Amino acid sequence: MKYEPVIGLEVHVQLKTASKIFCSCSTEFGREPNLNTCPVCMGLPGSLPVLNRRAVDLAISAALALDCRISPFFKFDRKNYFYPDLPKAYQISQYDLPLATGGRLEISANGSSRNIDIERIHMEEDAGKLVHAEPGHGVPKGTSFVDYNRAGTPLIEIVSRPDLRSPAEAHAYLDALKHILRYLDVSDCNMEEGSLRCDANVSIRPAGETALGTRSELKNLNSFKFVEKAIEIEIERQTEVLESGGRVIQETRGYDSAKNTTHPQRSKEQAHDYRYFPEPDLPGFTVTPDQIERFRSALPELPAARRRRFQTKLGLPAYDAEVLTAESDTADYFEKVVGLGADPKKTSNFIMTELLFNLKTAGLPAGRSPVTPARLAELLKLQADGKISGKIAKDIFPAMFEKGVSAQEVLKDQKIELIADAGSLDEPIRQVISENPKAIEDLRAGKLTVLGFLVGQVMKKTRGQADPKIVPQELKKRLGI
Amino acid sequence: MSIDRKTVEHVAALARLGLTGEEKTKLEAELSGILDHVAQLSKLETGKVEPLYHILPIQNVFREDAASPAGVRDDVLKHAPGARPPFFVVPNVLDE
Amino acid sequence: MSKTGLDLSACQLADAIRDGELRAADVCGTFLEHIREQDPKLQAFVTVLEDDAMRQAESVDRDHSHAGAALLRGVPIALKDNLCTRGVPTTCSSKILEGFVPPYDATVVARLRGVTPFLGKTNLDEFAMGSSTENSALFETRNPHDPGCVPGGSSGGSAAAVASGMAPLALGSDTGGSIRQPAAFCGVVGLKPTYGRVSRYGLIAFASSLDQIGPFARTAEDAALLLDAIAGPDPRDATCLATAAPSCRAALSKPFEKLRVGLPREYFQEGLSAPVAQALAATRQSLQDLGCSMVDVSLPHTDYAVPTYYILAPAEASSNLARYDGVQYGLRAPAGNLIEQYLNTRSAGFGREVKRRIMLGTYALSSGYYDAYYLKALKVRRLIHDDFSKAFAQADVLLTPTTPTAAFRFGEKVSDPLQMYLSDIFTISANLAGLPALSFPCGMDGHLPIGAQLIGPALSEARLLRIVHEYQKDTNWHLRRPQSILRSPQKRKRTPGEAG
Ligand SMILES: [Zn+2]
Repeated sequence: MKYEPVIGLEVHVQLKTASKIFCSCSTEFGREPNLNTCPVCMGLPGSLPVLNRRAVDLAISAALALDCRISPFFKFDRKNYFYPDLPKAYQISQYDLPLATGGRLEISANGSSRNIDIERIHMEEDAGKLVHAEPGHGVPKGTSFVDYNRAGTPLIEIVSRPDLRSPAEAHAYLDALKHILRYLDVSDCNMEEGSLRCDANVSIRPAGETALGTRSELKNLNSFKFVEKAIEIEIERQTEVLESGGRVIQETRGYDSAKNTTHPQRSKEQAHDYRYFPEPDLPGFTVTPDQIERFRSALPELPAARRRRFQTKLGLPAYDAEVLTAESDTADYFEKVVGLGADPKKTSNFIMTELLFNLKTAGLPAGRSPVTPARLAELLKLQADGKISGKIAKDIFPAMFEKGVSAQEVLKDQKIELIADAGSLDEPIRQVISENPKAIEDLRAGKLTVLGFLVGQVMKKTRGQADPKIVPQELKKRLGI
Repeated sequence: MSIDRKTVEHVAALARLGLTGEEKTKLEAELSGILDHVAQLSKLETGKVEPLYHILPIQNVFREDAASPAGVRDDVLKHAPGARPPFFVVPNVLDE
Repeated sequence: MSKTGLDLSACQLADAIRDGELRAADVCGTFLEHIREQDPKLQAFVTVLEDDAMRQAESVDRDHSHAGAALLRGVPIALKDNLCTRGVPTTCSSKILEGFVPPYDATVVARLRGVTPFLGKTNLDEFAMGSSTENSALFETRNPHDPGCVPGGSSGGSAAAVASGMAPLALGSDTGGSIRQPAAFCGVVGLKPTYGRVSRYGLIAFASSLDQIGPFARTAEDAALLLDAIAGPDPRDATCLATAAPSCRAALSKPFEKLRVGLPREYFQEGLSAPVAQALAATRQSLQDLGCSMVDVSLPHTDYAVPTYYILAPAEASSNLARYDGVQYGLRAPAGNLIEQYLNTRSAGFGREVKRRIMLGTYALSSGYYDAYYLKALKVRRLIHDDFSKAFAQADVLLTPTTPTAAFRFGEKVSDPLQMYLSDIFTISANLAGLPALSFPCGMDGHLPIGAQLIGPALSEARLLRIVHEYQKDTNWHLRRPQSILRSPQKRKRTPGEAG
């Protein structure tokens, strides 16, 4: 029988705030254990939460960018369960009146794009971290260390509908989501630092069936690649179970990336009953249509819209538009260069081949490129005016990047002479024509293959400084063909 | 409304309360008695009544996003029932 | 004696210290000495802060730069032991907080620090759950008027401390009557402010939507002074009102307005003891003599207040008390693994009543029961709230008994939790509706005090205090001191689990 996978993702994203969601502790990553703590985030008796305004602002921006409906009234609820990483033994989260509902995210996988529905976005606080302690040095066997630095970090949980149909789509969903959230500067979406985490609900059903199969919830997915692989292997496992006449049971499964297998996880709770109820320590929150409009108009142009604009207004191919809009920094850079008069496609080519390579090597975002947009525009203008060849432009770029200087300075430094204008090609071309009568005859007879040979001869005479794109045009012009 | 032994045990497990057999027996009776008294609420027609989530007429209470250290860690660790500074120490979830 | 102030009101003490007639250190020393004499018999204090209080008092004497800034400067105070005090153990009279030393002050404590020397921390029913202070895991506190009777609860220690003259002022907390009921039983003034008037930051939570901190004092004027010192906005408590609280003490000197006093008929029915009914009738007459008019009003959902409260408060408590799991602070019982640690710690650390309420609250919130219990109770809470709104269209304040009877004897109700719960019948509604309410001495049942309760609309504390201030000019119930009949100085220590 043919089976169809049904996948939904629950993504936890850390909001980029300076302080925690309910207290003034720093959210800085990598501090000494338990240093970022206070009575509130350690759940000391008597302490009370107060909501961080910026966390809500960021969450609303994210929700609007994902086309969600912002709830005119939202509140917080307590989710009760015992675990040592949860200092109050309840998590302040949102249950029945979340921040936002009903959005969508455009993903592109396998060359086509489609919308994935988002069910809801809610805000909550993160838990602390449990570190398994190595026995010895006074640490008894079977103990864990607890670090509450993460406890109280602001999160949004973005819950998709079970609309994804392949592991590759799940990966594409995460790419698109990360893309948007980084664009908005709402989150770093860094899986290593835990600022983005993903659980996947996976089930399969006979193709054509509309009812959902029993799902398993996959956890411990540490990279987008592992999300994809874990779903893949889980689909295979469920298929085998069904084909051998068994039944899939609803459970939480962990992913072992070394073995590339999923395995059942012991549940955190003896019994699952979170006993949600409205958080009495936090009055409710309202958002007016006016406020929503203000948030909406403050949103930057989102990647999908920008991509479309780069294609339709600037005539870029889809691939270029995709690459340039992958990071808002890159797209901003591109637009600045084009704004200074450079040709969009030529700029795009140069950014994709030269700039991004150098940035990646240096580990810099486009916004901090040593070659400023103005300097790249200047370089491209020299080339467009035929004053340097494309080859020279590429050759001198690393020096511009490394030293943070202008094209002119590098040219002067390396004693490369500018080609004054197309006229300066007159003499070399005249010489080549007179030195190669046979080839000229063949060319006039329509044998275009010799053109390359003649161009090569001109380049030789200019010691490579002529623009190989201009030389053929000039040759043909001179010969009247 | 009467509460049976099984319910008492289930609720105690949810609340992480270790109860003796005698405590369970007493709680069965006491909780049943209190819930009988509470049952009078069901006589009230509340179909059109909005639940009162907050008694205060206030909404949208925020703090601004500014980080400042509390400096209480060492003090809390000093009084903690299980600590190996800078960590708190707990037994594992289950025996090894 | 008069030189050092045991017989002076807090206002008189404050004036005398301000004018240099008394030294704060002498005043503090006198009260500490009185505590040394009286407390072995009454057991109102969990912790007496002798050195700390004296240091604070001496610093008040040294530093006159703030003179006039704080009206209470130098007047010592007792704090209920569910208010966090930096560096001083805060027990909630529970075994489970053994070893807990807060690294921070509750907001109210921070506001008083450096102003009013802290005499000590007072006993309460464990986690403020109870009406007699018999549920303290540490020891029982006795009623200064009769050591065989309970002082009421849960703020029994604070009430007894003020009534016996061991402290001129005290703070308590009130979730269902925990200030007003012990105030009535001990013959002092106790005020539960409007929900949100006083910051709850640092008050160890019992039921967050009902808890409120308030003053104990012998006179309305003293209570006003203390309320003024602790009330007002606090950025650390999102449920604390942002509007600055107007001075209650200033309102006391304004001309007395003739008010409409509502008498809710549901509060004057069967169950009321004859002495209480008589005392209330006399109070009513006194208020009429002051020019107030009496109106009959109805609060039709009164009968539902106790059942509503006994869903909402335990539900919130079950969540608020989940953090006591032996991980970061307090008691940790020996165990082989984490689950055992939870079970053993909470089993050993919590007393009977606390366990009972955690069970009740957990049950009410558990899957399948939420709508029938918790959600239903939230709806009835609105009905109760709306009852008061309607009543306040007809009356400026409501006058009721604080309790159906005067103080009961130890052990009298402890075996029947429901009977104990029903003793809060007159005080619970004000918490459910978030309204200010105050109990003041209005008569005696033999040698035991009787309290009357005034309930007002939100933020009408000044009005309630103004009435009692006027009443206390013409009456002397608030001047009745306990007879010195106290014997048996031996402390009665108890192990948790035993009775209560
Ligand atoms: Zn914190």
